[in-house]
Amino acid sequence: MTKLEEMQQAWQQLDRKLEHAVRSNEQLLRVHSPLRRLAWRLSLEAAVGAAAVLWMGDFLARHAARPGLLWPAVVLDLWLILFLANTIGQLVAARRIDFTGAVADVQLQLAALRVRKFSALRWELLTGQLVWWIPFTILLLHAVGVNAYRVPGTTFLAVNLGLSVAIIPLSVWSAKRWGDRLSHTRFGRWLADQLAGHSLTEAQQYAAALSAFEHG
Amino acid sequence: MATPALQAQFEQQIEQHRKVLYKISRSYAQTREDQEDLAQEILVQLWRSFARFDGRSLFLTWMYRVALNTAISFARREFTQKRYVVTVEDRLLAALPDRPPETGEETLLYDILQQLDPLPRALLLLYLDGNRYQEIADVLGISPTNVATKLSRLKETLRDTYAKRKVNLK
Repeated sequence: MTKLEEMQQAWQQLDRKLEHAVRSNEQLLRVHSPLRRLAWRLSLEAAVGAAAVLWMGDFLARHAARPGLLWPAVVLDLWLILFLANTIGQLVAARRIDFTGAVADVQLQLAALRVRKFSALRWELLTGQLVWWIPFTILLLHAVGVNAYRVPGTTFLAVNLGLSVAIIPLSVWSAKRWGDRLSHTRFGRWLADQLAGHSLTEAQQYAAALSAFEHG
Repeated sequence: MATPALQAQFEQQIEQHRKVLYKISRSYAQTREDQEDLAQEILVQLWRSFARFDGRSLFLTWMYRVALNTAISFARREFTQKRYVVTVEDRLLAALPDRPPETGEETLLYDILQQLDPLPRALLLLYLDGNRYQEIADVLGISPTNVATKLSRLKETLRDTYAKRKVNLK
């Protein structure tokens, strides 16, 4: 008899014991779907993203003739459109997952959703500071009646824009190099993992392992 | 909206297969509290999907699928918050039965299961539960040949582990 068969015999003994042990214990529960929370969050993000895209579209139409305002608005609008597309993509994928499906298939869909989530999050973190610093500041100052090209001035804007670009590879490198030291807090560890791409890599490896399981 | 008849039908089915709920929760969660949470999560997911159960597959196959999908996601911490509040709106039977005391060998079986990755764990659990290769294949969504190959590899892996640890029990 193989060890696996021996294990099966022991398991069947346990099964017989459970037969007698299990009994009803009435209690009231409120039901929630596991993916419902994620779907709610994504729906909210999509609604906010859609409103922002519409608002930026209106702003673009009204300021099309002013290049100083047009370029930051285009950059911001493009970022928001990509954010919205990513969010809707995740929402559609999450809604398609049906837990009554075959286990390997459902787990692969969940893993793909996780990869997509981490990939989008990393992209948002890396490009977010580029978009939400100088372009956003120019538009914000315009909204309160200040011309950003005069105060704080073109030099300030150019230097900070350059720094925003440089900080992208720098933050990836420092998260990979000193991620452990930087991550004293839970948030710090999470941020370092996202920037360095560790969470994404782990999710991709898990998806690959599932795929290997499914296909032998 | 669930009808009382549907709810009664669901409770009857769950009652018949409550052991599955217990074994899967025990295999995919470490602490008693987590096992309770997982069992409830599974039950909730089963209940939500039950209206769409069309009877084309056996109830047990369907239940294994939902329960294992939920358990694997739970084990990977895809659900991070407890979401249960007692209400009078949605009545379900409590998830986990009273836990019978375990022998050393039973604990060893669960320990061995918990050391495996989530999908091989599901495969072994289905095998130990006495399912045929075709049934295991239906639940997991892989071919029966693939099931046989993977079980054969598991035999190799577990041969020494189980024997050594069983000796240590004595």
